[in-house]
Amino acid sequence: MKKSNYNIFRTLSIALLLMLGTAAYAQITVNGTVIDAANDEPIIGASILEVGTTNGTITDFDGNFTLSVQVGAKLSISYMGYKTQVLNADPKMFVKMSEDSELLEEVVVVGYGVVKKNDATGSVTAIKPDEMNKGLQTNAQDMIQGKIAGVNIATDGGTPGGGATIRIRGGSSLNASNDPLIVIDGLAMDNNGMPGVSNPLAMVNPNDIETFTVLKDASATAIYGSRASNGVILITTKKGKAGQKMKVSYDGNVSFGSVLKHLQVLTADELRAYALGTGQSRNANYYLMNDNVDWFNQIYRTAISTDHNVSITGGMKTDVADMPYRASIGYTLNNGAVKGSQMQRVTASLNLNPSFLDNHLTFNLNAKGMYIYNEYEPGISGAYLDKDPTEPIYSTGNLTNIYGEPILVGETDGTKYYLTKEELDAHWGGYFQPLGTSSNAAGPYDDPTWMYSLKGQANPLAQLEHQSNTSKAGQFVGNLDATYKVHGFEDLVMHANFGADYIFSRRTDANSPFGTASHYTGWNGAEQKMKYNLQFNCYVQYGHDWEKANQHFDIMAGYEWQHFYNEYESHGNGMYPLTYIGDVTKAGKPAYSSQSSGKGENYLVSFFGRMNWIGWNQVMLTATIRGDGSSRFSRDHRWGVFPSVALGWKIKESFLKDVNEIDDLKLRLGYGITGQQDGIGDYSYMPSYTQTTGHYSYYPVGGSNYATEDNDANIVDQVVDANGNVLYISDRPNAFNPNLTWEKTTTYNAGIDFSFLNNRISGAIDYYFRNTTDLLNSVIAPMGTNFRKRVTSNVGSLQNQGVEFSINAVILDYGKRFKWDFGYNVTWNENKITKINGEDFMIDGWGYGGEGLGGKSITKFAVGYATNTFYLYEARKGTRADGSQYWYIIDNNKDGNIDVQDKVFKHNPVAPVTMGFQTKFQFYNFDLGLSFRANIGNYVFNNVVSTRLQNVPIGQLARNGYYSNLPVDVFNTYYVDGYNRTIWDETGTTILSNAEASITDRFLENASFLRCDNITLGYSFSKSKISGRAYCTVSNPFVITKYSGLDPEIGLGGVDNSIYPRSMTTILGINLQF
Amino acid sequence: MACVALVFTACVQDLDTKPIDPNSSTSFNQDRMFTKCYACMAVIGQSDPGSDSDVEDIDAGMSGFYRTIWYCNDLTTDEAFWIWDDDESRGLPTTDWTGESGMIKGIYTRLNLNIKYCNHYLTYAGSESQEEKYRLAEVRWIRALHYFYLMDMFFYAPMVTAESNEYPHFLSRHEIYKWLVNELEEIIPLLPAERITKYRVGKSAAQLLLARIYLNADVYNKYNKDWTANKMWDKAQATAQAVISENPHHSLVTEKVVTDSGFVYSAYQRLFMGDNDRDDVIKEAIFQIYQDGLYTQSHAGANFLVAGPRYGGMTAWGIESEWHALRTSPTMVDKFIKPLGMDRTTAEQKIYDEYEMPTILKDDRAIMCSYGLNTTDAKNFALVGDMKVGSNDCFYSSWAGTKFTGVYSTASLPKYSPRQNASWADTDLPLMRLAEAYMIVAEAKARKSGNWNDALENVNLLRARANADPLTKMDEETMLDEWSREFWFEGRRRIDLIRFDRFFGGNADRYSYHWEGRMGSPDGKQWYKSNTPEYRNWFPVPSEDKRSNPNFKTDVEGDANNIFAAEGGDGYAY
Repeated sequence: MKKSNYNIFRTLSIALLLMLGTAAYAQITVNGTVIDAANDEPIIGASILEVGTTNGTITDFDGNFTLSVQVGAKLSISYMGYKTQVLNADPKMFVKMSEDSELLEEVVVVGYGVVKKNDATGSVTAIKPDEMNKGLQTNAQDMIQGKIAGVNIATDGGTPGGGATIRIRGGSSLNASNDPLIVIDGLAMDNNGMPGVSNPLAMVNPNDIETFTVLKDASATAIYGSRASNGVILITTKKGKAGQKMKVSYDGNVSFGSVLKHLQVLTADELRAYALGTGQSRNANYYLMNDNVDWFNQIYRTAISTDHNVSITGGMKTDVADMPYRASIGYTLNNGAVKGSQMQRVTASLNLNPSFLDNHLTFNLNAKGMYIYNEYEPGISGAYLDKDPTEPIYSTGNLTNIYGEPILVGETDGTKYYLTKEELDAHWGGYFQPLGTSSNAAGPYDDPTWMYSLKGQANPLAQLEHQSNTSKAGQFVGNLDATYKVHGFEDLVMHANFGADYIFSRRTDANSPFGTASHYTGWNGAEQKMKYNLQFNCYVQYGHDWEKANQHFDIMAGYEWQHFYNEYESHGNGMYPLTYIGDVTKAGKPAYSSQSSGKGENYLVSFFGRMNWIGWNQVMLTATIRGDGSSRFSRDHRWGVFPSVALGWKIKESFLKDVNEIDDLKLRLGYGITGQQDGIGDYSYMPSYTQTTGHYSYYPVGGSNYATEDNDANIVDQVVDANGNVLYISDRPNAFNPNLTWEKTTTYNAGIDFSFLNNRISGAIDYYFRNTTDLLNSVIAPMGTNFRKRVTSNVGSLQNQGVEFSINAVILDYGKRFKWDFGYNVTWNENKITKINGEDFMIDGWGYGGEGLGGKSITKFAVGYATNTFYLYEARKGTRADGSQYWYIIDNNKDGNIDVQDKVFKHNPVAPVTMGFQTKFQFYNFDLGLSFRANIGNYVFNNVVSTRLQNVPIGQLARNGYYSNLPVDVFNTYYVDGYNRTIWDETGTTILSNAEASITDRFLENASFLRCDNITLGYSFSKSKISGRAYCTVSNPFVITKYSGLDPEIGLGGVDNSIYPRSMTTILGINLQF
Repeated sequence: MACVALVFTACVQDLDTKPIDPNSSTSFNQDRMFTKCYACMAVIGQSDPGSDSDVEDIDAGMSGFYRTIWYCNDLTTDEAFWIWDDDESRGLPTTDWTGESGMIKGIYTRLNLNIKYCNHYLTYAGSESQEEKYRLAEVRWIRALHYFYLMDMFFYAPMVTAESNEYPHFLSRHEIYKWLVNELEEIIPLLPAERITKYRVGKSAAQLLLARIYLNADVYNKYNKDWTANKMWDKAQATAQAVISENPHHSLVTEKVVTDSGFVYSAYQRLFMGDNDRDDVIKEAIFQIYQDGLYTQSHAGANFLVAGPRYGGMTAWGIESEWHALRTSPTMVDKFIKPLGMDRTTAEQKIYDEYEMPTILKDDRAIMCSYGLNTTDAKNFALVGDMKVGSNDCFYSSWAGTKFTGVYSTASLPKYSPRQNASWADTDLPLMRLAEAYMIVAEAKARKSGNWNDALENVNLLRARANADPLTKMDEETMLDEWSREFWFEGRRRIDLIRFDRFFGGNADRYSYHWEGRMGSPDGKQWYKSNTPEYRNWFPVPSEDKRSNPNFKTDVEGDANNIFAAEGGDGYAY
């Protein structure tokens, strides 16, 4: 590679020299070398031009050039990305060029174009990932967590490759999507999830990211129209530079993760002591055993993970084209703290940015591929909380109970069945498992060779071995983007972009017949999904500077077409063993199969335009408009128009021109409207029917007495049951709402950007007010008006308002010897639902919990309260005269009954105040970085406790015939005079039954926290051929919180159901450049 | 430029999409819609028993037609307890349901949605061939059946008789009554004299429904100014008699089955078994809802009645599912024990299974099982009053009602019963059966003459089928007990109690019925002591529908005839 490049360049240089040399009449001959001031490396392909002429050349592979010029001529030496220098011609010249960093940083990406940061009028935050102060970055969202004011990222827990919810300036929707639009290299991604792929950011290797730009207010986002209500995240990936020498870099690390905190449970000895000490009968304790198992240690492990990335960057240069390139490949292995959970990912990317015709025609080709493989633990992350520690793990353990007796599990037809090693080995894979027998003479499965059934809680280690849940997903994202500057009329630029995002995912779930999940028949299931998203957009841009008048004006108009398609298919079945006698025709054949499938698509067609005016380098005006048509709405409601206008005033450039301490001061005012249509069905506006799918809802009435029009070959229209009845499928009319239309958010924004003391201190402060109307949600339709009770409708309004402040400062700067900088951001956001159509409506929120109420919403959307506010009974503790304590529920409406009308709205899971803080010290070649994040005022419903409190009375602990265990906290702290269903009246004398006592505010806790995201120590080095950095990071070392559960950060639902715990991870890494 | 315009136009036309999913369509399919009109009473939706129910916001498994009716008509009464503590059943056993209660919302939604499906069919289906005409009449009958339940359970209900997306108007009970009588009289001649297949309905179904409505006419017309009480006994008797005499293809099942091993399944038992759709059994059914372990599964159908009362150790019930949830109330048990001069303590000396109990209690209908009974608790719970939701003590304090079973009558012993699926019963639900016609004739005759002994003939006919000793004299309460003995756990108890004025709102002395052990009321006396108001005889329209339908205000709250509004409009009254 290197050799051939060298030859190409040498040949080309010589050819050029010969061509140009003949044209010149020699006066003096300049021999020069151009090098990069930063690393003393030669710059290849720098342009040397005799000023005022067309006489010029470029540097060769060693940075050398030779040029004959007139005496006294001036030479202009330029190279893209570097500051251009004009020097007097000398026979011997040695030119050091330095990167024009200001130029690079000044430009921020906005929708369909770029803008100089100085001239930006919207609330736009662009960050470059900090290479030195990063924690464990598996997913791109990890790079911005806590770093940008107004951007809140809530991860779902510690699952490898687990998802995260990104909220910009609070959610603007209820049940339509609250996710920001993610645009990667100009391609808007589809946000709808796929198994194994948490969100579109999962497909980008964090190491490939050049900049993250977050567009927050509507004046910046409205150009994206209908999909931009929740903000826009623009990601640009790293690219090569024209003429750049080929660079190879390697980034790799190995990490060690372990769960530091887990909930303490009763040890086997404590449980035995409790059981034996409470006067339980011998019978009730019959299943108590002799072992001492620490289930936490059986389930969890120290997880070793690793990550490797190689990239090649460079720029070929020929006389017809510049061809910068970058290619990278990355491999991530992320082992989870729970045994059996793992994520492996391979990513590859290629960027080619050729430019032709003297940079008039440039292409930008991006291709990215990803393959991700996930292994999921079989739902055992919380099993240690409940699993009886007195039971052995394997069949080789002591199988007698505490009384030393073999355990009798049942009796059928006079045969006594004992729990034996033989049985455990034959049918349970050699693991210990509490067992029962059946009343059926042929055994629970109609198979005399399998006479036992599962009882009690499944053995987590057996689950681990007998269940395999994996997913594989592949994604390809590619786009080709062409820009043409019209020859002879360079103010006019034409632009076209074709893109495609294709993703395929397959999840398989296989359960062995020896396992507990599908004992006897086993299960083999697969679910596969495919979706693609095609895009085309083009726009024309005209821009001109009237330099004398000091005016700039540009205008852009464009068109975009997008097509989203998805399909899924799932199927699965168990298998009857040959010994099955229930129905001999089925022995050895599939049992309980299931299958389903579906397809959907939607289109978006849009027209958009933008106008910018900058006057006297002081006043800036930006106006945008976009019209979007969505196939999800009827013709009458299809089009949405989303305008915006923003005004900027560079105060610095007006009356502060001479104040040297101030580098920049800018006022921004913005207004705009954005829309939302994501998160609703593709066909919610039109009448349609859903056919019977699967095999379980056929009915023996109906049939084709008439020819039917749309008999689809894929559908089995009828089946025949055992008695010869013919069973048919049916059609259900679907609910529809022809009046469905866009959800719209109007945003007002006012902000100030500032920069002082030679840019040592810079930052921004913003105030915003956002009003969302025509909220999309499924609401109750009056009976008789529609085909379902809930219909997707435009239901109401909500408001968000907030203040964001961010500041970056270099506190101390002694050049390479010592540098200390820090960044801090804080956001206050207030969210309130202002209107829900139809009087005092209250809509179920996202939080589900309570004992035996797994499917019940305990948070609501209600007027006057924040989205997803908890709606609970109020419980208080009382003390009787004898000193005993009890809990009672407050009868808020004093009607003598405890019913739903006594519930109150209280707190919500989203923190009103969030902040992030980063600091970094550099001391010679050493660097030390720290990142922190805090949420203040967020609440969590501790469902781990709420659902387990009922187990505290010893009789309940053993209620399934076998024991279960308890967290110590539940046992000690919460248990006051009866379990949580036992609620007394206010005087403590009468038990009130029938109150939903497990959903009281007793379990609602303030979960404010301060989390240290990472601490990093690094050492950088630079040798002639190689440079790099070695580092050690501790990610997630501690959290400070009052929350009594495992982790205060549990996702946006607000209900803690024992999350997969986050690990503390130590990372050792190295970064090398050749 | 024109080319560009063309491209744009083409792309804009992309916005006119049609569903591409093979599982959905946009055209009306008459056959499949007809199937839906029946299937919506048997299964909860279009796919599997646990998801995507037609009815939202309640547990999918509880959202079916039969189970919602059963909960409202049986869990509110002296027949049954459901032990699980869930949003759906909460409020029903304790008589403090409100317009927010899960099951009240569930039944209201299920009934109204099913009506909506029927209206859709009736609006768009053809009426050319005789088969099409039969189908239209059958769907009209299904709709009438749903309006019967709406009228019976709610004082006011939204009335829609054709496809529409307008806000419907609410009609009061007696207005719906009038509509129903007309509708049923109109469709009786339109229905086939004999049902086309055993899972469809014929004329007999409309006749029996009409007879049932006539029998309860006084209840529905209590607040009808133009109503003369007691005027419908004649019609009730005549219509019910017509069911018996005009439909010879229906008859009571009187044959018991003796298996190879000598095991006996009584005639009455056969009505509730896994193979109760055999031609010789289904002849008693006027309308039977199909269930199948493989193809027609529902937690809201037979399964909750078969698995509900069961748990390990009991005599095999045909499937493996055991829910540990459903129990009879002691009062229910007493209906079989007390006439024998026994008390429960005597009966509980030994644990009997459901195949022994009918012999002990001398009535084939006493299909109960005292297995697992904690006799100490059973003796005590009436005093302790510990019957509360979620309590195991409660479960072990009463007998299991095991009338519905998944066992086939072809099984030599229950434990050798064939089955199609270990989790799902094949047992159909006899929603209406001929026995009811006999009972209606008996009751109407007696009420008309004022002499309860006039009911003896038919009552003893049913008792004879059940191998119970004939009664020699009758009174009002014996008649009410007899309804329970014949139809217990069949989802209709509340209706009978109200007709006999022994539900709520009557005089305290009417409550010689002790709802013993009823939740929250140790001796059952709390109910009359606290003088539970009359409006508990119906359920309130769910608050969500009140709020979302603007017609509620004018049609109900503003109804000049609305006596409850006049009394200050208690929030629960309607």
